[in-house]
Amino acid sequence: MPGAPRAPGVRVAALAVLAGALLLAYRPAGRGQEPVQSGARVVRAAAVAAIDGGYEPAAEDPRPGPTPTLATGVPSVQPRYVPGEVIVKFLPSTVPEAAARHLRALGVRALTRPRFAGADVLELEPGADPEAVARALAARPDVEYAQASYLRQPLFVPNDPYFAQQWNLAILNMARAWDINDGATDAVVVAVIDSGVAFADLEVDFNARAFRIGERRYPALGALELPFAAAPDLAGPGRFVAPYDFVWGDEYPLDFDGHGTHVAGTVGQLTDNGVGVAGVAFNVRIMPLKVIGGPWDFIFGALDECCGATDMAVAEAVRHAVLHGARVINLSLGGPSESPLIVDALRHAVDRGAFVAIAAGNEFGVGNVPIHPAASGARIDGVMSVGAVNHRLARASYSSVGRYVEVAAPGGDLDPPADHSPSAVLQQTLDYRAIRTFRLPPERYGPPRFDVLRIVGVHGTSMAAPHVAGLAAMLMTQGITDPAAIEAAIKYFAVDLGPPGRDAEFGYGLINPHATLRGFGLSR
Amino acid sequence: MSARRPAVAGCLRRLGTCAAIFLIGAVAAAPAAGQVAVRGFVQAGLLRFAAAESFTAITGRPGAAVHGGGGQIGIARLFVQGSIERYAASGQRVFVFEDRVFHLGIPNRITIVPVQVTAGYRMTPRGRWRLAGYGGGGLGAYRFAESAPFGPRAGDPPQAPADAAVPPLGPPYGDEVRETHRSYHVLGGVEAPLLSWLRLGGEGQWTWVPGALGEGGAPAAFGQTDLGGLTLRVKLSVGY
Repeated sequence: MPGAPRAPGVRVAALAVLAGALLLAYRPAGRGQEPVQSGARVVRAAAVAAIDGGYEPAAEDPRPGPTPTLATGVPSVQPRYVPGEVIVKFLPSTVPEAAARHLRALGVRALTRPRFAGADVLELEPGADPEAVARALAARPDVEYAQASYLRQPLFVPNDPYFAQQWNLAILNMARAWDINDGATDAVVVAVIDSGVAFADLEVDFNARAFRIGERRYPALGALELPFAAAPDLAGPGRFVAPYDFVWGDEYPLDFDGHGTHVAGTVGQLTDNGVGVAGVAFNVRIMPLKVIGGPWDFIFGALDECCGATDMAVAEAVRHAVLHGARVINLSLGGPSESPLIVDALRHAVDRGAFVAIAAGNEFGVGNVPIHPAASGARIDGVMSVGAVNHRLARASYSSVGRYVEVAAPGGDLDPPADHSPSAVLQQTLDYRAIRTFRLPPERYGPPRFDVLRIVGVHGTSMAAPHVAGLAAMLMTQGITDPAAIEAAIKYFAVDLGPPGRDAEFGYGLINPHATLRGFGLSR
Repeated sequence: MSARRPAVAGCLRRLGTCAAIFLIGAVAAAPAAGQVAVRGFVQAGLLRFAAAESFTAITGRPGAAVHGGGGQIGIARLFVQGSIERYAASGQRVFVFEDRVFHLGIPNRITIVPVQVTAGYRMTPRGRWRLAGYGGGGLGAYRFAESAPFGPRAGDPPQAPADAAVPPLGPPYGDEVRETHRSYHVLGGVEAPLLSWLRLGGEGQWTWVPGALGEGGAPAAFGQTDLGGLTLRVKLSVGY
């Protein structure tokens, strides 16, 4: 009523509203913005410097032991030379043409002089042994030196400091494979459909709600402003393409779990950059697509139930990947139920020229039920189901066994080698100690940090599949562009393990990148 | 080196023995007969391989030019000859899937040197041009070499650590391939004298080199096993 005096109760209510508004407006780091509600988030670009925790072997395997080294592409000494050629340098007092005419008995047919080499090239009769001729020439008094025309090859061994710990790349002979193919090119985009990727430096506001794990009750942390950092050994200019988060429905597929970042690292960790570890196809571009919601997605309110990926999100991500130019897709996820929706999306991807690698599952010790989409996708040419081997080239203890396993790749195992070298697959990802605060007792529970990254050993068929995805990317660059042909090539050149021929443990065997990239000659 | 090498060497030894016996007999009988002809020849032609798809996949062509030469001794209408030819081509390594060829950009060099011995029969020259037809058959050895960079080498990974439960994986094959395979052939042709000591001929030859291909590589994908094929050549002979 106009002009009527206000009752004392109304004044109290007005003060309470004002106080509440002031309280809500006050956030230590909120900068006066409205607080985000549970299930929403506010993302800001930020100059977040990643905290690179390096690699702590003891954190993975506390037992002491000598630092292991694996053979990683150091070449054997086996001379290879141009047939029918010998390089010779005559003494200055010698007329090479005249000398060459006197060398017919050695099988010398002609002499040519390259412009800049400072030596002559002798063409030999067919069948002449260049090394024997070179030795005979070298013994002559008018010859300064002579040698066969040896062939040199690039001997690429990356300078990543922990490359020697990457047994998975050593048993795949990746150093020799990189001699053939330099880790693919940025023309190939590999979609990593997973828990997201540590792909950008951002600050994000969340509202962390209360939750319960069993009988433990964890309090709501309320409004949080959390820093996210791109993985230093993964990110680079133009590295990431068309990112999308199918859990939050925006373009920030931030990894709250570390799984996707680890998988992306195996596909394409930056290599020969003097940092961290190496990846298989280190020149590809990566499309981070988040479909797996983890505990923090639940705590921040994006999920009603914790945790996992919906079939719809996976199918959408596969189609998104193809639509935005991905030529290779990695799916390190699965479940026991078949999904026609996902199978349909996989067929769509292959029909549009994308190869798909899928983890076969980690269910051997827990019923060994077939895992989909690996089991159903394996029926599609161009989609491969990947089991895991350990450092002993035996099937990893957890790796699912079934007729749908098509090929095997390193996935690591629980059982460390005798020399205590890493038994898991090493890649850089989020520091689990910084993100899994919800595993602590409630009184020690606090906000996570997504800007601390570390080289972490993880095992699983999730780790095996990206080796195949990386190889597929390299094959795309090498010239095999058809997904079904890529699958056929990978199977053909796989190194048979277990019983002869295809079997349920290893499929066609361990992938062999070097041989696959080298393909067929006439006789081999 | 091919595991067939001892068998091929044995075959060649037997072949050489037979040829030597033939030649010794022929030369011994020659003065009486007065019909010994000794010739040398050079030849050049075109070779189309039976494994045409495989060669086309790798070299871009189903065959190529060949050239070589040899010698021949004739007794009356019989002759025996030895010849050597050379085929060389460059291409690139491939992957074959459902008869589609994907080129991998890795250079590949193939050299084939057939060494062959032929026994045959030459007909009496007829007509204005004194054309003489001839035919024969024989054995030989195909020396096959293939090289390409980036081959796996002994000592390379993949290999398992020392405590591996399974034997370390060795390289599946070597880089430089050098093999010798036994061959069989039939040939026929016609020749005419240009001068009393110079003859020009044309001939066709079909060669079988069974089992030389198909254990791996592109021929395995195409289901081809024979390294032989059809050769059409021109032959210039010198001698009487």
